[in-house]
Amino acid sequence: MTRTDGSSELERGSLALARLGVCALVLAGAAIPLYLLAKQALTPELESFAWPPNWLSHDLTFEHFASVFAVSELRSAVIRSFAVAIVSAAVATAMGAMLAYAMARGRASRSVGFAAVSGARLLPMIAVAIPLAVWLVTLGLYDSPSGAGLALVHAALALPTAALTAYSAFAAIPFELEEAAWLDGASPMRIFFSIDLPQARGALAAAFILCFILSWDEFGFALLIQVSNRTLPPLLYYYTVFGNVGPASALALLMMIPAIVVVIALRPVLSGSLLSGGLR
Amino acid sequence: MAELVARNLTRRFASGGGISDVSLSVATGEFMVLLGPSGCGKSTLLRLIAGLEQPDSGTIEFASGADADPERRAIAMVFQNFALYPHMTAFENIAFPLRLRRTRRDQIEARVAQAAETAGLKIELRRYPAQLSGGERQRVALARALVREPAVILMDEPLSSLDARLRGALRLELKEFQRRVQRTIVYVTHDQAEAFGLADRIAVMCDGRIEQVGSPEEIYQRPATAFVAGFVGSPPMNLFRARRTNQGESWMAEGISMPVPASSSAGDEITVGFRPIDIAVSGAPSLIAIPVEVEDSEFTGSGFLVRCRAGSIVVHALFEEKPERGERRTIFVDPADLHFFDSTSGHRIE
Repeated sequence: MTRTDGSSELERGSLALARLGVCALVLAGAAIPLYLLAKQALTPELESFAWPPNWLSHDLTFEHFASVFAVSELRSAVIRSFAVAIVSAAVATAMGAMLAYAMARGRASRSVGFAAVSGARLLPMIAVAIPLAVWLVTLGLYDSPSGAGLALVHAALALPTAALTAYSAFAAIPFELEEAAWLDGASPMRIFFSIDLPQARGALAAAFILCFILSWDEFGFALLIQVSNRTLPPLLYYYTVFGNVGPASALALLMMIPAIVVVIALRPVLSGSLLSGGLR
Repeated sequence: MAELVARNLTRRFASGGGISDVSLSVATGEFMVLLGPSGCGKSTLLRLIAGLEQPDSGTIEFASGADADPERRAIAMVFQNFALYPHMTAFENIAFPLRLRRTRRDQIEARVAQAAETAGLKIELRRYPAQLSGGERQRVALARALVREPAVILMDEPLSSLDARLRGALRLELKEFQRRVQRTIVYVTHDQAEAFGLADRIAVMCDGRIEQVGSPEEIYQRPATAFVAGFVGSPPMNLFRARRTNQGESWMAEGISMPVPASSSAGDEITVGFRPIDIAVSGAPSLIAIPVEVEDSEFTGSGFLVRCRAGSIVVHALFEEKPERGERRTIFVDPADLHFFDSTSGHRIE
């Protein structure tokens, strides 16, 4: 073995070490709050306020979970949150896909689309909050038990995210494939559904997940619009406000489950290894 | 009988390029090759025939019934990159045109199997395009074009994205394919070896116009314009300008005297050409003698391609032995092997 080989191996080794360090740091940044949350959720009320704070609790308890499940509002809030997230994510993804497709295929629609999407993102949400609420009152959707009004707002909020996520996927599909399908005898509608949509499904699944999580977490509009028919984030907020740290932590922990389930459920679609190689 | 007739087609693009006033007739069962350098408009013409572009003016008529709607025209196309649908298996790719026509399932299977066999596809049809080699993708594309039994198959440089060895093998296969399926094929390429190997007739294009349409032999032996003469043949024809002598009986260029073409109505200047292969290194009195100085030579396998200079004229010649650089030689050309072209219009003068 020559010396240059040795030194390059050394370099590679230290590079790998540095990479490992960065990974550990990032992981720690995510894991430590998560651990504290889980600890808090499982620690008896008195001990969670112990000073100095401890990393490991002496007694484990499920009483916080029990008290969360005992809340009569929980069941309806879970269902409502879930329905709002699913519906708004579905609407945003469907509309975002259409917008993204137009942006990917037309020069005029690309500039208009980008202007609209980034404009919507630049707008401070608080500026539209009151008018939106008024509008929902007129429509009869304000504080509706089904959460339809909030779903509508969340869909609008998520639309730019969905469109931008889907855009790059559609833009990557060669136009030649559409021409080939057209010559094979496919209508424009058929081309979109048979050629473009299947190839973009990985990106659309990602868009759906992002929109779902966006809605599942969303607090401000949920607080404003679902005043009495609450979703989960305001519920969690009221717990914290009234100092119920244990149950709040337990609820926060439970809230992570659906998001994880959605990500896992859509994993096969996300890994699109099958979806390349039509063109050389 | 003409399978398709294009009349006075014009399609210009804002970014430049396109075609102007192009007319072309393709006979049924004919293998027509559109040959030209990149940007000459050959792909535009093909896309107009396909219906992917609309002409600014002019018409295209099909024997199978003119229809503006490409989905109803009996036309299939093989794209440069094959344009296989990556999310469908080879079978689904080939079956796609049939599915769109709501063909019965058992019929689809039979016709896909038949098209795959005709295209020389011997693979598992359940595989995806990403799992296929370049040659196999090419055959899937051919099978997909064939499966709907089109009257015309258009091909846009279908071999250009393959590596050289595969290209040669598939060229032979394409020819065999054409013999088997007996369909009209319009084929675009910039590769003259491909054109000469495949075509019944070649349409040579340049600058959005068709320069000449003819059999490969006609194109090679009697190029209709100076452009065709310089584009076709490898190495290309030597072309240079000559002026009329005072007597008006011969043409002169750098001291070389050449006989007048029989029906010359040209002006005082003319373009003269002869092929490197027609040059002899030893002469007879009936031949035109050209004194040259050797500038450079390259080994071609069968001999040497030599660049010589006669005054301001550069002449490429084929020698059997390697000449020295700077060597003075005389090369000889038979007057019968000379080609004459009008210097302004570029048209051939007989």
